Amino acid sequence: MIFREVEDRDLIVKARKGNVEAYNVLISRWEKRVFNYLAKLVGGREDALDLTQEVFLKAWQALGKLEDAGRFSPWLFRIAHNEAYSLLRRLRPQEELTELPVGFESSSRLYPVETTLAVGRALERLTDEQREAVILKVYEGFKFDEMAEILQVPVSTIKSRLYTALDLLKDALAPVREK
Amino acid sequence: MDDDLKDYLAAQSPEEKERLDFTLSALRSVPDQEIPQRISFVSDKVFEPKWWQRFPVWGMASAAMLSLSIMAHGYLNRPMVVHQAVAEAPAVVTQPVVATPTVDVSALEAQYQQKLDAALQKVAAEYDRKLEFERRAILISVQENFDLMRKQMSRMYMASASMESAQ
Repeated sequence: MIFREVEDRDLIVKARKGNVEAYNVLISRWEKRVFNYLAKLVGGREDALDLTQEVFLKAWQALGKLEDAGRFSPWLFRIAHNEAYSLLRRLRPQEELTELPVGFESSSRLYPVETTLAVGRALERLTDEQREAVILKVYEGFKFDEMAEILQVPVSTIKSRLYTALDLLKDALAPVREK
Repeated sequence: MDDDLKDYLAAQSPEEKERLDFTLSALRSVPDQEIPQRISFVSDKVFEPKWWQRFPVWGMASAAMLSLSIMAHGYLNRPMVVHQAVAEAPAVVTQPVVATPTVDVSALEAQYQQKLDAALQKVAAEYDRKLEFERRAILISVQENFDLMRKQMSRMYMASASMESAQ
């Protein structure tokens, strides 16, 4: 992980000098994670792909403003977060963003489809803030301080959202456990 | 598992911990999706670094060569102190020979050093100025290209949307 960060840092330095190939390598390392984060947050794969492209374009344009190259991932996910919410506001300007489509496709044959669907449904019951806290922590593995940087809220708020969400998920997934 | 979550789980009762473990396992059982299309940016002339950016060492090497040549030039052409003027004077000379005053070598060296420093500073300043100019030019070009690309993408999106609505 440390080596990876060092390499990312090196790629960022090169990309800042206009080296597109270095930036493409950087993209190839992060695109899947950003795509999955967006897919879970906004729903459809098409939207997630468009947003992912937009995120990397904006990141390229703003790369010079990144103060600490070691904090690239929270910075990148902050852009992704902004893009996702901007899309959701455009799609549903009048509605409260509480019931969002969740991008879980039951394409995997490794796990029971029922579990995947149950997880998707359980996540749908969460508020968007709670859902995002779960995605960033459970799926993307961010630390609390990184999540605070991405979401621009205090760590205590994030903990509260996450633990509440886990409690709700625990209850929602109880029937699956009993089967 | 994440340390933050471990701490949270450790604070739970055994029953709750088991339920949370299951919940987390169920959440993680949802696999990551493959990105349907890889993202990459196309390289363009304006993005390519200039030759002097590819070989930054060359700038340093040429500055070093220049400073060395200036020093060598200064050393080889330094004023020579003449001590044998009286001895080599012809015997017939009856006028008193005025001895050439001894030249202060350290003062001359300091003088040449000053000149050398000034020349090097000038070269470095010129190099920095050129570098800054090129950097700004690249940034402007990049910005312009992206603006153009974004406009083209917007047009394409609009065209696509109008085609869809027409269908």
